[in-house]
Amino acid sequence: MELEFEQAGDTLVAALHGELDHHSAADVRERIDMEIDRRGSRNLILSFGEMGFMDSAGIGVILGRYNKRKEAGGKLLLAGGSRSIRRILEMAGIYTILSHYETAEEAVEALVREAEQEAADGRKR
Amino acid sequence: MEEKDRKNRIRFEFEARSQNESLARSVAAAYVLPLDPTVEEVTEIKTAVSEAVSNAIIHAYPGKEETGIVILEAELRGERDVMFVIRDKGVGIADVSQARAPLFTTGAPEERSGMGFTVMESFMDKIEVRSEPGNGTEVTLIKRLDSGNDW
Repeated sequence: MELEFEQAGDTLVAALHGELDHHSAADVRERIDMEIDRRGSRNLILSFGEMGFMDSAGIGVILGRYNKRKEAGGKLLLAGGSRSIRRILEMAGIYTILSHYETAEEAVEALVREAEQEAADGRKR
Repeated sequence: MEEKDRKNRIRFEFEARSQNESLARSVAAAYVLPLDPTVEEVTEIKTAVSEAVSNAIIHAYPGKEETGIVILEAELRGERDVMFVIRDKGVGIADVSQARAPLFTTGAPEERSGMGFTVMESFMDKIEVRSEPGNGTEVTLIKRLDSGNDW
């Protein structure tokens, strides 16, 4: 599985290319976590637009990254992906805890808006 | 054409190693391709087969020195029903209905979601699990393909 990383402010965008299954999951997890540590990123966006296949092993990867971001006081957002990928996430109840955007750009914008809102709320107090 | 010819049975046997997961689901996808399935149907079949094969690879042969064997069989049933059987000769499942329940997993929680059977059930038309402790597990997946583009 090929991973492509891009930084947007304090957010790391990880674009997954290829197939995410039980075999590739361990490596994907490790490489994403290492990259976050290396860059000190607060938030993570997992971008599935170029991912050709995912089975339920992807759920573990997503939930693990979600827990780590939560512990670190950051956020995890999802972007892109085929209908069947979204169906698997829906089945697992991922959308009760995470938002999914059409593109990574939209997810980055949502985080920026959220940060602005938080800053404005902070000023009001 | 005689009925026995129509089934077009195949059998693919491989070692229970995780790198074979992608090979096994590719075999399943290639098998249905002549039936002119939709892209969605191919993805559903690949995903369900991947779940069953991953389960066998992860659970069937714990701590064995020798690598176990997983078998994928496919055959056509009727006009547009395709059947896949994923079989191992491993430790088996003590409680099949518990194993099929959503979120149930004996694997590491960080690694496994316990959603494999739920995905198989959702993506296929019929699933049967036969297992006996010590005597392996056999998962049968059946999917009826839409009439496709042949009309």
